[in-house]
Amino acid sequence: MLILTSWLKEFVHFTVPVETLAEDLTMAGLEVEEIEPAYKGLAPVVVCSVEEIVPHPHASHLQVCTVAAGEQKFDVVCGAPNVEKGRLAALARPGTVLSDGTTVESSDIYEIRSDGMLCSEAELGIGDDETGILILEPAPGREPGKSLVDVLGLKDWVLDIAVTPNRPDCLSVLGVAREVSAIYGIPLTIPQSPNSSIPQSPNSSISVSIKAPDLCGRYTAAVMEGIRIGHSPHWMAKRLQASGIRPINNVVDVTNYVLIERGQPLHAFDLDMLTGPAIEVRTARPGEKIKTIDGKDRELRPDMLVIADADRPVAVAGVMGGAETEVNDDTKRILLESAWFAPIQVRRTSKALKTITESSYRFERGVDPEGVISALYRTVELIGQVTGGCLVGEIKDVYPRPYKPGYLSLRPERANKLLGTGLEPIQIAQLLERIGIELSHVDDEKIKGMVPAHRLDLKEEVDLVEEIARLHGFPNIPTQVPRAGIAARAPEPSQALVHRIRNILSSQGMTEVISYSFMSPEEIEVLGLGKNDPRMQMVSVQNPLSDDQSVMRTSIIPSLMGTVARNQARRNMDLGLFEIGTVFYARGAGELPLEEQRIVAMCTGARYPESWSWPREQVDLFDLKGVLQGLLQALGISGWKTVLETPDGPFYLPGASAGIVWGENSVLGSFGQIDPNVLEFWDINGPVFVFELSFNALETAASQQHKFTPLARYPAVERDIAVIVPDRLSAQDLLEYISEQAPDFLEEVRIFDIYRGKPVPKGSKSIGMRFTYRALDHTLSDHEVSEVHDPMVRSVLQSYKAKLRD
Amino acid sequence: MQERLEEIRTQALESAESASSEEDLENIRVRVLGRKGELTMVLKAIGKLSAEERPKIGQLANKLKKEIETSINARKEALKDVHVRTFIPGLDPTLPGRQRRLGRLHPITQVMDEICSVFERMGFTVAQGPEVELDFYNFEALNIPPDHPARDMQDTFYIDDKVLLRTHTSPIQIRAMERHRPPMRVIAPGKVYRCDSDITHTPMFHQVEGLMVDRDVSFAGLKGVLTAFVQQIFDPDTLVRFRPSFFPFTEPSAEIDIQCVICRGKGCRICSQTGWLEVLGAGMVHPAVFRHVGYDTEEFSGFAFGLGVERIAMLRFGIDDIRLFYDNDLCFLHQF
Repeated sequence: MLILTSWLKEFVHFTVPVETLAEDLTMAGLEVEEIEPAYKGLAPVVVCSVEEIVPHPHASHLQVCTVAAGEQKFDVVCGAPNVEKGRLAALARPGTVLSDGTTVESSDIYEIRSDGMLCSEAELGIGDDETGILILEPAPGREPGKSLVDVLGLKDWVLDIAVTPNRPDCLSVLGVAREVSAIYGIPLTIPQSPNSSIPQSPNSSISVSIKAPDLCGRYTAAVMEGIRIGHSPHWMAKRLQASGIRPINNVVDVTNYVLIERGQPLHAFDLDMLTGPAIEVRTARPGEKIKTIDGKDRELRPDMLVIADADRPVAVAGVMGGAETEVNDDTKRILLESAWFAPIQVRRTSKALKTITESSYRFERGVDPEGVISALYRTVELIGQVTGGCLVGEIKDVYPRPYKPGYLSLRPERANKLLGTGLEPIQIAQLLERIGIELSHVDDEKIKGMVPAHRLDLKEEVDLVEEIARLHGFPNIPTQVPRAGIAARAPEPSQALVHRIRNILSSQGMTEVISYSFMSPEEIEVLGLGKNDPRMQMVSVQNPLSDDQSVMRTSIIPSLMGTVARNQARRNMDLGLFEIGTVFYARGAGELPLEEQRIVAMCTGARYPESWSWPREQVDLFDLKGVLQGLLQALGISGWKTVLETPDGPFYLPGASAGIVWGENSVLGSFGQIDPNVLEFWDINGPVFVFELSFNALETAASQQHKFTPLARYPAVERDIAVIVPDRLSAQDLLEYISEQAPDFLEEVRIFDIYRGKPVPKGSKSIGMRFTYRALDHTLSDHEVSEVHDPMVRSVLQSYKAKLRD
Repeated sequence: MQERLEEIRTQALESAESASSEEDLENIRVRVLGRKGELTMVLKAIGKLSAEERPKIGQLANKLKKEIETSINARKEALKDVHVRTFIPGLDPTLPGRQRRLGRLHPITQVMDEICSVFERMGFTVAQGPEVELDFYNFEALNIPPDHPARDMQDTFYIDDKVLLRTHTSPIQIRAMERHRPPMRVIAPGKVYRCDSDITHTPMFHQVEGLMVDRDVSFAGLKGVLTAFVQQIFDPDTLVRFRPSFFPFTEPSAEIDIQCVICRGKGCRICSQTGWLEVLGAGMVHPAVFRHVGYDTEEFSGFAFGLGVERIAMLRFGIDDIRLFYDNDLCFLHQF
């Protein structure tokens, strides 16, 4: 809301500087976001004296004037009849913004350079005179070179106030004036427009009926004739412009002027365009249409409220008037409307028509039902003043749902308890009076009073507590750390686990990313999942910002792929990334989707940061699996294994992917190399390796209580063997077989070598293993170890038709 | 003869004392005590001495032998404790070290953790809830009925008429109050969604909201907790300003500004020349919210607050474009 301080001063005579006013309004809840000088555009205008005038060599109607402004002299081209040597004028230097919005520049006029412009009152926007340039009478302080704004004392400011939705009463000069009055405890003067001062003619010819009284609680109308359409006077146009409203013509300008001044939306119809003439406030009939004053054709729905004449809708109630009945240059007679429409009604219509106007904005927040009529009087008065029109007949006031004043009571003790203050009841009462509460009862227990009609937001005791708090001043409320009992509630364990996982992954050199939870359906579809895969059950957003953010993600893998692609495009090729986030699976309509947490990590590019001392090696599947193993180990999860059968995604490369299963058959997740065909969708250079884990499954697996293992006190015995086995035998199968045969003092079997090639025959590989034997209670003898090791090796050889490698 | 012994003694002890390696000591031992050593030669010559001199010199020489041996051994022990400092050629310690790739946590995670830990130290516990929410929890239970203009304060992504992407983490507070009776001290961190995208808005961002409900919780307490928070997150001298505002779910409502961290209150581009930066919204829980969850509004009062994690992070790190957080450029992430 833009508020001109000189306008505000008509209602409340504050004396503080504008900066203080802005600060005090902000601290009372009306946040002033900006203070702009109202005559900011005139800053480059200076007083000048006309020293010499010569005719323009190429244009007979123009003259070239040499003017002095302080030390400097300028040549300006001027066509004004009243320019005279020796007089003081206003020189608009380049950069000046004139009242019509144009900016003054140095320019050549018929080949003569003009260093600015001598201006009229109207051009400067400080008066109506446009017949000649502004001539200033010499006076002390008006020396050439002085700023015109200073010389004329054009001290006025525009405050840009952010009005919160609960305070529609502050969407006007009057409303802000009420606040200023309440803040400083100074009187408010509302210029009344007495009925008697309005010229009246006896004929009345209009009827008003409200068919939907729940949607239109009050409708007042006035007919005026003898209207002469024209420009508004300068002072009105200036105020409208300062308030962000474009002047149109004197009738429309007055309705806008009263809107800004009183907060009451008004509309003027060209009475001669209305048929009937009768005004009916009713809901739209099926199929009805209207062209509104913005030139748009609107289809009306039966749940929309309209103003209609005998034939058709002529305005969308509270939102916008119709083009056919709009005031135009030939208008002679008008019908003025000032009404109260139900907020929800106006809001729904405004939303449905996707149109927000100054009018709808105020109606949907709530206008003062009692202010409807006084605003109409004010409008009639001003239109009389600026158009020469006069009122015809009586003003109509149809008020089917009269306003009933609200009464509230407040307990001072309660207010003090909520605020942590120690205010006396009498202090509280005084604060409430400042905002217009009419007190009926004040004692230590209770303060009662009537709420003014413009404060529709004051509905219960706590609303008054807020008023007390802001008028007393938030800085005057003490700052105290509360006394409270110890919170004995345990945090959710999953929180701690998320922290641990993040720290474990980052300690392995992985960098965390956070991506948007939405993506395009194509990013999921490219994964090649089956129709019945839960990840194909996507949750769609009705109103996405763009198509590539139209579904909630069912997998984090595409998010990471997008990040890889962006980084590769910027030559960040060596990536180790992870993300922990939510995926969403659709369920029935109206039902919340299933949300699950996923942990996804990926790596690509070089294994080590580039260095003088490290080989340039690329990561492979086992770098990634190493990170995964490290995570599981650090979480204390044992008893998991790799399963080849269920790599749970067609987006992995077959043979280079596997599932991770814990316990009997709890699937923790999967890992593998991403299929290059999938990478192509993102233009990614592979290979890229990924693992994905289910947080829930991980949480269950990690919840096992960890028990201490006593430290070994006796030396270990190690035996190395290398066996030649068929290539297709998996390392895991071999190790499992061994662990089934093993005595309890076999501490570990570690694979230290995999070898293919001569002399190992084709189709076979050599697996080198180190067996570590250790007993808890004594030093093992060679003999003891051989007794179990040798038969075990024989058994391996036999079972897998394997040979020992020499 | 006696003089010769004295001479051997002085020389041997001196050179043993100053020997710098085991090798030196061995040479001394050979020179003095070896088969043809100086002292050995003296002992061999004893037979030529007179009978009364023989035992006397013999005694002296044997004593000297022990003395020298002791001295050599002592020096040998002493040398063991001294590192032999020799120049190692061909190594350039100015070469960069073999640094492992460092993993990082996302800056939002780091700031979020820090914010949560400040409140956790004050006894708040973390609560969570769904990111796709029912309209009821996101709006209605928070005193924002359908068709309320306050809905315009938050541009909402809808899934259908009843389901939406939460626009704040306040629904978590409602769900927490439905489950537990006061006293209540929770914080609700998480992702939230609003349809808005420019240099200061992303359609997804992070919030931490908090709620404290008990007997005798007052606005003064709200000021105390949030002042402490701001001063721990920013700087203990940070000026804090509470100013009236409006949220449908609190009354009185406040916005909390801190003195601009960039210009220290003088006025700059970041604070739009005001000298203040808005960092938190807060207020006393509206009785309508308590009525929704069945709390007795006479018995209990409470305050709620909320803040945007990105905003805090941007101020802390001097980041001027919020979209950088979700671009995930490694060169960006590795700065934190």
